[in-house]
Amino acid sequence: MAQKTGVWMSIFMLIILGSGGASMGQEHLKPRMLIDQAGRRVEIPGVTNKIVTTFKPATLCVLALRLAPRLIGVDTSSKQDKLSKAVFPGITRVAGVGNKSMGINFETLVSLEPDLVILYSQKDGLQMADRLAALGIPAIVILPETFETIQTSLALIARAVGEETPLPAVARHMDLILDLIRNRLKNLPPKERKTGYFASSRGIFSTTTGNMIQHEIFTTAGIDNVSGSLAGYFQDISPEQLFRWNPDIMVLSRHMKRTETTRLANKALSQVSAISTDRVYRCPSSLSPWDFPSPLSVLASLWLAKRVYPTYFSDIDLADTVNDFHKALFGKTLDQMGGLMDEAVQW
Amino acid sequence: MAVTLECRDLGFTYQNLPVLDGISVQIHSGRFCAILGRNGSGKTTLLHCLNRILSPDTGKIWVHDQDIQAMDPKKIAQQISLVPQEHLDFFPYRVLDVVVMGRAPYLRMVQRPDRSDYQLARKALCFLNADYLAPKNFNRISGGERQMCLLARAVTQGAGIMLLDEPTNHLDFNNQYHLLTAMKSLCRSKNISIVATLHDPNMAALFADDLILIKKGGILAQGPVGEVMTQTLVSALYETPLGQVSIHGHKKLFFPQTVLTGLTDRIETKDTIK
Amino acid sequence: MVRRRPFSIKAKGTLLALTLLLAIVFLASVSMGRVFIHGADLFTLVVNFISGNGTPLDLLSQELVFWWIRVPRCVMAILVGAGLAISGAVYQALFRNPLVSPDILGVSAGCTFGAALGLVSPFDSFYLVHVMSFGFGLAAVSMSVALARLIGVKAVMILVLAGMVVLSFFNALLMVLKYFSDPYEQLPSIIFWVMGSLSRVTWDNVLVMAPFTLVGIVLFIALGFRLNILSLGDIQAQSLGLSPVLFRRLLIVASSFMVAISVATCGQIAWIGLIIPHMARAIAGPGHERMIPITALLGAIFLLTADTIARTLSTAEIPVGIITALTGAPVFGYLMIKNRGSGWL
Repeated sequence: MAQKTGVWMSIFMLIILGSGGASMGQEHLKPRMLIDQAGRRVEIPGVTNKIVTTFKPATLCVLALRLAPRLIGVDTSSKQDKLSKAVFPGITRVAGVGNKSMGINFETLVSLEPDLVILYSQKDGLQMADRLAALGIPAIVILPETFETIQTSLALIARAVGEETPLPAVARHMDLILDLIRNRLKNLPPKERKTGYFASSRGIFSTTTGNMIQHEIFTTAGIDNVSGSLAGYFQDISPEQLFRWNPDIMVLSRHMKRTETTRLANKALSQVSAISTDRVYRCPSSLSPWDFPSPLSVLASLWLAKRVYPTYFSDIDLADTVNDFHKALFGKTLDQMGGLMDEAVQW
Repeated sequence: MAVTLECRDLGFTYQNLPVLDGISVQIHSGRFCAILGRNGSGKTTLLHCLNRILSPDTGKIWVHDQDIQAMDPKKIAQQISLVPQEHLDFFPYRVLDVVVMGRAPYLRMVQRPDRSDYQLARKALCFLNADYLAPKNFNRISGGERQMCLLARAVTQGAGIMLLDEPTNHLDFNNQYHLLTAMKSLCRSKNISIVATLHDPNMAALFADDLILIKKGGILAQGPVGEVMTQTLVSALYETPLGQVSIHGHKKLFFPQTVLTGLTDRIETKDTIK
Repeated sequence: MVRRRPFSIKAKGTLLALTLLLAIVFLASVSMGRVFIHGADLFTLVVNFISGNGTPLDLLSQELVFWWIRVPRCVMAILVGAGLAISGAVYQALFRNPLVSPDILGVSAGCTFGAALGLVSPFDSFYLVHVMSFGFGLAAVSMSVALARLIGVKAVMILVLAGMVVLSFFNALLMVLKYFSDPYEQLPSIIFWVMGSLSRVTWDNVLVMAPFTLVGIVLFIALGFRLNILSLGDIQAQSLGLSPVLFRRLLIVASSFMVAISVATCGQIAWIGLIIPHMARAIAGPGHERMIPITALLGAIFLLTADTIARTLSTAEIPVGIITALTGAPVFGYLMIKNRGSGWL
């Protein structure tokens, strides 16, 4: 009997130690080696209590992974970001290190003595990662540009902070939404498919390309992106080209200035299908742009799919789904954080 | 001998430094008046005051008894023309186009020269035996030819008074005299008053009718060349003892005394550049 | 003595030929575009417009593309091309310098800054950007002129230096604005605006631009001979009866209005003000009474052609500044080589 108790005790101890290992983890984390999305080998020695992010999608990923309290440095624009403030009010007190387009203040970054820095591969991200590595600061480069790579980024950050689960909860929630859309639309007859045009924050005549996330949002939602053949970053087109494409629906970037939308009133565009049938939408939400790479981008596909193919989603309550998703990611619903869908466009 | 241009008590300061003071001169019609003086004496400033390119601080100027201050630039330009030192222009105008610019004072703001204006320009060039220059690029002819064109432009301007700013600078030896001869003949044949600043007193001696000697912003002497061109005055002007040499009986030329006494093979150490 | 007519037959012939060329290029441009319009339909559209008949339903969309997108854009290209080109010619005469372009007094830099300021402001007026752009463009020129007056030295070079100071100042302010603007919400529209483009032109823009440009063109052509005089330098100009300071002021004001309205509407389009006057001089000689009308025509033809290429060649628009620079730079180099002996430079 004592032997059995011993065995049970050992098992019990193992379980306790094992789970304790996970939760007490910060003091006893073993070093881990991973390969970031730029192909760099990064060794993370131990605890990661002090995280610095250098661009907004990274900050959003960190928030979605419930790692907000560990942030000691963020990109400056995230400090005023509505979603970030709603999820983690303390973000306003976190140090700002600059931003991707205008430059990161390397000195500030290093002076914060971070355990982990999350960078982007564009601009001088790679160079900065190497410099940090030389100083003994673990830095990982992520590339959240598509749904898949956003999930990979989330997994990478999760592994970097020592969570061993194969796929973080966030990524699984994203998959749920994507599977839902795909299942509902798998029998969509080709002749019912609609075409769509996405206008970036630069202006009505600046559109997305086949490499960008807005293209994927469209295609996942069963919409053919008229500008899918273009490549690269946002491209400018002429009004004539928009006329020629004649999209069935138009989605405007969340960030597009309202004065820019008045261009839609131009008589020349009055015959464009989306404009004449009043199917121009601004991408939600008022709290955070879903047309921008983040875990919330899958909601853009769901919202769009429901708008364009309502019969296939008639039983889905969009508001509830959106709220549940936000709660799963951030611990609060969209309503609780004071956000609105706000998809109407006036011109 | 009518007085065409007159100034009284002219004064001019540049950045609080006096350049001219108490200048009173009279220019007579049909006579060649030379202004002599050392560099920086104020010769060019005086010239530019006379056609109101510069505004004097004190004094009055009359052209044909009209106060120049009350006249607009066009009217002044119809009475007084200026021949600048030869220069290289930026735009490669044709010579004829440069010369016809002399008609500008007679054209309204939006008018452009017509056939009769071009004819006047051609006539001016002919008068100076320079009509072969008419179709050429102004920037590609020689310095002497350029100066002739500028003179032709002043002739085209048809003004009764012509001001020339050191016209013989930068010219070849022979061209200098060619130009001065042309100026003198203009004086006589068209009854124009010529006022020219010269750096060489001997040129003045050979060609001028009247002289104005400017020293340190003031007039040392003025009057007909026969009276003013004396050894004492010219020596005082250039602050060097000068000796004179007579030619053709009544004309006198001046050279530094040391040069004339034939001691040119021995350089006096006490002679310095002033 | 050979009789020489002031405006020779050759010059008039060139003028006529270029006007014809402009008409041909215009017709070609309005027939081309991303939306294919059949030649016969084009003809029908024009005829209907002139006769005032209604358009048949099947041509309705082509009519919209033609009359509301393409024609205003082509007309604007003509106005901007001509305006920028003759502004360049006038500035080169004013400053007696072949390397001068209309931006020299800072008007473009001021316009760009004003537009950026309008784009980041919280006010939502559509015209705000254009108005602020125009206003700051004129402010920049006024500052240059005032600074030059303050320095007091009469030389025209001082105006150039003052212009450089003001230009750098506004460019720096623009950079500050870009630095402080939100990289996701405000910065993109600034970037989009700075790259000159005719793609957003509407008839409203044309109606504002046309009077400024036409008045400017007429004024500069009329004052062509006076510009010759002015290009001699202040001393000679004054001795020939011109008031150089007043005249220069008038020309700067007129030109600044033209350039400011152009940049405020379409952004900065480089190279036209610099090279087109040289091309015109190579054709017509340096006399401004001859070369200014030719400058206007050449500028119009050049920009119209460049813009048509920019909007037709591929699905995405090529920034027209790339085309003007890629063609303009080699042409300028060639002209410099060809004219090296003329005492021009």
